[in-house]
Amino acid sequence: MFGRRRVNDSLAHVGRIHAADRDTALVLARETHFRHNEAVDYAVVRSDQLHHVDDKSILERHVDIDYRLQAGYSGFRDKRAAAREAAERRGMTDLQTRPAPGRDVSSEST
Amino acid sequence: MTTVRAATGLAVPALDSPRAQLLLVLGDDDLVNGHRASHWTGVAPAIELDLAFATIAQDGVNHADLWYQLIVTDELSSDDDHVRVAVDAIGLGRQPDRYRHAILCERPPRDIAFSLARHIVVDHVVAVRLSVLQGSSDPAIAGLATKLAWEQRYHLQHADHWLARLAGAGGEHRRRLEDALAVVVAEAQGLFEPFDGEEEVVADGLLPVDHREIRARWVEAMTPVFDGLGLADLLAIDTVPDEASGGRCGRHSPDFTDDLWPEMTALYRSDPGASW
Repeated sequence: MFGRRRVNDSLAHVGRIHAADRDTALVLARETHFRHNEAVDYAVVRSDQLHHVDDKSILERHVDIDYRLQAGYSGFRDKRAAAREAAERRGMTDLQTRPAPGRDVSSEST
Repeated sequence: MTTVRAATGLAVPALDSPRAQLLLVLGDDDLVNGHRASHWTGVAPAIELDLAFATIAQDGVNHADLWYQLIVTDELSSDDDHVRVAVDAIGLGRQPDRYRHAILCERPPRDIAFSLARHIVVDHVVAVRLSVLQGSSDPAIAGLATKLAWEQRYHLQHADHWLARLAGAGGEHRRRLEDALAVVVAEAQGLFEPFDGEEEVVADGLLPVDHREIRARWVEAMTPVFDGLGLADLLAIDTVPDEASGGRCGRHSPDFTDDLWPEMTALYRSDPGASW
């Protein structure tokens, strides 16, 4: 069973229903999963229509993939400040702050 | 507590007016039918049917509460303590012979085929009645009928679904449903018996049409439903068996007086007027 909480929400899995066919599932789902105003829309898919990935080992990771995760960027501000200081100590004083994306640099210089 | 209890005896409003009698017919059918449907809560053949049927049963009791409120006051006021006390007194504080529901509603659940057959037949009668009452000259009755008709749509969807499934399945499913429907449709004719005050409420437009016309509209509504499933012959039944006649006048069977009524009212009678 999938339900949509609000009109613009995506369908989200809410659980299962045991029923002999599609129509029975749709009639009974209202009370099984949506009896407390949980949804503005719902849908059912036969469980044998779900195609599971055969080789679940392809989900395993054996190397560090921190750079793909938000957690890999924690403390970024401090790291950047430290890098800047180190660069200045080495005399790299012309290190520029990059303009924020979308800012029109040419108009700023006037 | 003592004052509430003392007041309870006075809280039952006069139930003799034609308007009150109409509201009792509507409320009592829903209340008693709801109680009998609630039998399946926890023991239905499947958990999903259990949940759906429990809701339908609860709706029946709730709808009865709402009809009774209109006996006490002109507009719905569920939160008013005086209304609550009076509604409980109407629903649970009457002697069995003051109830106006049809005898079909009080029959024990027997098996799931019987309960579903009663659900199919009675909920269609209720739907026709709600549609008629939306044209009531009493704005409170018309307004409530409109609200309840909205909820009634799920009852009909659920009822018609099981009718089609069981009748279409053939074999034992079909046979047991047919046997149950034969009994239920015959006893359902008791729903169309006139009640005290019916002539007055029809003349005043509170109930826009009488029991004969309600029956005719019910037959009209059921015809396409039964026709497609080869069950149209059931609609030729137009006489009520003696033992299922008289509910509208307060003549009830032992299924009510000795079974459902004592159980349904036991808690209320243990401490009338208590707030639960």
